[in-house]
Amino acid sequence: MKRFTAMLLLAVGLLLPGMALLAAPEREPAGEPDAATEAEAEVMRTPRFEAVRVYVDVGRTPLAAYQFQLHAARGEARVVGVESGEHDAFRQPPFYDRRAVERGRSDRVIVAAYAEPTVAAAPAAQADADAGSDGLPTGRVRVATVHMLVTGAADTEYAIELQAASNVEGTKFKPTITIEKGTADEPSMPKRD
Amino acid sequence: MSRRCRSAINLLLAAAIAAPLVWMTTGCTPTGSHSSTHHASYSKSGESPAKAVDDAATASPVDELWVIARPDGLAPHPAGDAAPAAQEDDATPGTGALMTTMPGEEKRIAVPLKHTRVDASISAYIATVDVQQQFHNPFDAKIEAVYVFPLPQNSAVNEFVMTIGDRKIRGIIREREEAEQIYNEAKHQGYVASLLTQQRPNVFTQKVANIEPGKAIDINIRYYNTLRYEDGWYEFVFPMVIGPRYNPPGSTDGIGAVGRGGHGLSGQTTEVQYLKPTERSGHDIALTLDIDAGVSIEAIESVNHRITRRALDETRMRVAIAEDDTLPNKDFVLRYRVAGETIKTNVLTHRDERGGYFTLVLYPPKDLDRVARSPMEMVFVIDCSGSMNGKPIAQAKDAVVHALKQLQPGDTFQVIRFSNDASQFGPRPVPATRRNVRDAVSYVKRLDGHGGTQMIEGVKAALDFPHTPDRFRFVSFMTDGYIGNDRQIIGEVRHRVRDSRVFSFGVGSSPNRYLMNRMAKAGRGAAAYLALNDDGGAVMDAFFQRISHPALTDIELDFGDANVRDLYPRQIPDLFVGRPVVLTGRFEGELDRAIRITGRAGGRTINIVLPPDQRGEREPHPALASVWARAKIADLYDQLQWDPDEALVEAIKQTALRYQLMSEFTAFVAVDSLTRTAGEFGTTVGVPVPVPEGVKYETTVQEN
Repeated sequence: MKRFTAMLLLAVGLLLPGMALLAAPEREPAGEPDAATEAEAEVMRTPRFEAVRVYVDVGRTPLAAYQFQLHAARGEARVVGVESGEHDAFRQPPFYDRRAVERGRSDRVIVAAYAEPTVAAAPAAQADADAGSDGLPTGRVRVATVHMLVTGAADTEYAIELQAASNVEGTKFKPTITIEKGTADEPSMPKRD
Repeated sequence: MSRRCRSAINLLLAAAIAAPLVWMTTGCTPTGSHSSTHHASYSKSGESPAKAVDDAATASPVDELWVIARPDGLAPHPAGDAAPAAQEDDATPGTGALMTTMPGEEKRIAVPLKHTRVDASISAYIATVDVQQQFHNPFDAKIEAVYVFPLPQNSAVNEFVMTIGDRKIRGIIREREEAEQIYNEAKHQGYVASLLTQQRPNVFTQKVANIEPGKAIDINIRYYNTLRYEDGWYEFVFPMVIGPRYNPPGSTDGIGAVGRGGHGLSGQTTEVQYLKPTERSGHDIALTLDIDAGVSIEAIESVNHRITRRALDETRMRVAIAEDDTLPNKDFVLRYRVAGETIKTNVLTHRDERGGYFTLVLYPPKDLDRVARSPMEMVFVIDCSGSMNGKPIAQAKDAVVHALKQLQPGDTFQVIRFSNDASQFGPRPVPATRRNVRDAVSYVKRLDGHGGTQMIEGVKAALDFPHTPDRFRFVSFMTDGYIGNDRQIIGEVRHRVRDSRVFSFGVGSSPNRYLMNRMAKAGRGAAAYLALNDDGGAVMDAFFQRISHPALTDIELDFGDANVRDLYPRQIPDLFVGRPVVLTGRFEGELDRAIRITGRAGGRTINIVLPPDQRGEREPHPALASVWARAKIADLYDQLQWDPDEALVEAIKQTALRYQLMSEFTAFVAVDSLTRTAGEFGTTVGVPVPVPEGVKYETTVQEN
């Protein structure tokens, strides 16, 4: 009995400090605050704005309509604007349906648009998008930009799912969808036209 | 709608069903709507009391010279043509402004709002209106522009797009507090952002932050609303200016009227800045309206503006404000009459993933014409406040004098005036004898406009005295409605109306139509408008013609097997001769059964059966869903006036968010996260507006 009690006391004596170590926050050497952690915490608390550019690569099939769902996989993001694409056919800003998820702090947004075909040639300023038939884009084209207000993670990550894409006949197909994050340039001095 | 468009939409809808999704507007403009037209009930064509105005005005170019003025040395200017702008207003930021002045002209004031463009179209009795506001920064430092403006009180605002150069960003509808937080954060961080909020159903505030010098930002708003129909005439209204409101002492949630740069003077949370009569801003307005009446358009007239018009065919017309009449100081009111003595009760339907929506326009049966007139007790309530001074009160007095002379033996009447207080012609209603009418006419002619607008006193005086049971009491308010406590007034009318009927006559070029319509609704009466150019006598003749025939009261509708719910207005108004009742509701399944209407008139029960009438291919009419949601929100607001329940507020929010509509608890916000400007967010510049035509600046606007 005495031996058992001693072993029990030893185990408790070992466990408790171990649990205390696990529970206690890491401590920096006395006198030196954790600058990196504090800075990161500040970034996480401060609301900031960024853009998510959405690209669809349709290959040679002219794109007539699309729908995708976007949400933040890491961090909290709220939609503050949905911008039109780069091709003339998608010049009007897309439509959206926004659903708040997870404590109402982050959005899951569905964005959709249909093209307004033009017979004019595609503008020379387009990057990868080529003018397809009926003035609809082919190749890789930015179809929308979703503007976000983010908090939480210092580096927000997004998840996107292409829900539908169709050609001018209404036939569904499966292009590739990708995203790129963007932020404003460094604040510019006021410019005059 | 193109086949390609339809194919793309079908795909999106199919995807929407597969992925749970609240239906979104696809944006295709419908070329028609599914309409069930029932057999003829009643119509009476008549002449509109408004004077016909139909001029094809020729625009004359105005030469302008832009001069940049700086405080540390004025830029030289061509002799005799222009003068540099003087910097005297604390609200004008920076060190200079782009301005124009011409010798002998009114002083031009630099303002951030350059131009408003309105493109409207009418299909059946639903208007789709696109409003584009062009903001620019004429100053040397970046600014935030703030513009308080009106829209129709039944407008369903559901689209908001910010345009920067060739980039278009669609704004997001959010709960108001959240939208304001987002906007303020963006503003303080230097981002270009915009925010649209609603203070009243007919008063909105647009803010645009971080407009850099010389840059322009456009805001596009889209709304739907149903048109008024009366005595054979449809009426389309685009309000342009908010009249200076009187706010009872101690109130802070009203709408203040201050001089240019006088922000904060009124103590109200919302303020409108007004230009002096000798000032003008250069902000002008362009408006085009495409009418597709579906039947021949017989006559058309503009009440306040000169217009150009072009008939596309018998049933379609394009109207525009003449280029020399673009000062936005009076509402645009267009009336048009369509062909046919017999107007048919009409049902429009629309269905999407959220369910079915319908709008029913109910016309009074012709038989009501033959029922004899009963003795009436007429109470005339005349607004004698300062804002009515001049032409408005002259109009109101003329109309009341004309009405007094229409009274018949057996009628009784009372005349009440109100401004800071209320007083009346006699201690109680008096018989309409020749002598009493003569004395009352003298009393009315001696009235003038000055003082505040304690309309509550007028309401109490008009509704609180005992009602004579053998007479139908009609209470007519003659007012411009320029008050800040409109919701309190509406609540008081509802509380005190009992068996009376309230008719509200909105007087002037820009009356408070929200107040007029809501008072009439609360009082189970009707609203009418007396513009400065209208013939008051003719308006009163039409009014008496309407009330002389008893309305169909206690109306009930039976939709048979159809599953109909959420019908608004919940209390179906009385049906007066010449004025239809518009109802909106939801349905499940099909709405193809006969509709049975029951009501009472002249002491007997009237039954009307409306058989179904299927016609043509169904086309989506997405406005109907917004129109229904807007009606639901209005109903919830009405309940909120006498029952301040948080659950009602939440219901308004959820409805507005689900249908992406503006309300007092939701707002549109848009942020361009790719454009960030340097420095502090700049000076806030309110956009000053002219006082409505006919209203005196000196008696209505607060200055330093």
